[in-house]
Amino acid sequence: MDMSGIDFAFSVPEGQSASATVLEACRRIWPRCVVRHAEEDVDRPIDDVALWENDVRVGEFFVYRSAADAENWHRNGSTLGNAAGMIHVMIDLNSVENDALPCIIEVHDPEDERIHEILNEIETGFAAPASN
Amino acid sequence: MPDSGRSGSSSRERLVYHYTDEDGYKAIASQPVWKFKASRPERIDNPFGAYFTTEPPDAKNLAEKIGVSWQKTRFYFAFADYGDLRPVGTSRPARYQRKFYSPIDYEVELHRQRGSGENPSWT
Repeated sequence: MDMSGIDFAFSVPEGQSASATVLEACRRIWPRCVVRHAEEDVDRPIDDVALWENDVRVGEFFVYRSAADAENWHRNGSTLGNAAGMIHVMIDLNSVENDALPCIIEVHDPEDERIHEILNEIETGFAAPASN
Repeated sequence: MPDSGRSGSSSRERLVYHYTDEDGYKAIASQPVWKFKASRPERIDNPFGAYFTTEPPDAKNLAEKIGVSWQKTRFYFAFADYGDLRPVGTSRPARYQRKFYSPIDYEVELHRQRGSGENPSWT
């Protein structure tokens, strides 16, 4: 069984919405991205996920570069050809385990330039002071 | 006859799963003691090992959650967790810690085996 994916772990400043920061970063780099909650089987355009931009303390979702990328992942799972088309977001702001960071972004092609830009945007977003 | 991954297990027991294709399934299932061979992953720079997950065959979005191709999830093996497998991605919060590996070949004797067969999500 070959499992792909490398984790990038982020601290989340107090008072900042992890989900909003991640989704905004994805929107900037992938303007046509679609989002699927980990326990649902529906893809939503990024502009339809305003609900998740509230402060999600615990949540898991996938962001696909486009609807076509989402379809590719649903049909084939992880392949070399679609590795740059999805990031996997895991948030648990209630986590209290030692050494665990509350926002994990799993990527399948860390060498892809756009993926790299998304990770940089997320890192910058978490470094910025909360805007509320 | 393939059986359910959840059958024969107590309610408190955590199960671990290994997914594979038809050839892998036949090779492992042909022996009374299941032997999962450690190898160098073809994708990404994960450690040499035999890989497992706590995600069951009916998990929503299984391929996305554990990063596998659908071709490699057609068959599964389920067995009781002894807590001796190493986590992949150690900085994850516990609720998302679902990928594990053994750095050497990993054997599962009959008393730990809980089920195997074709993934119902495929049919």
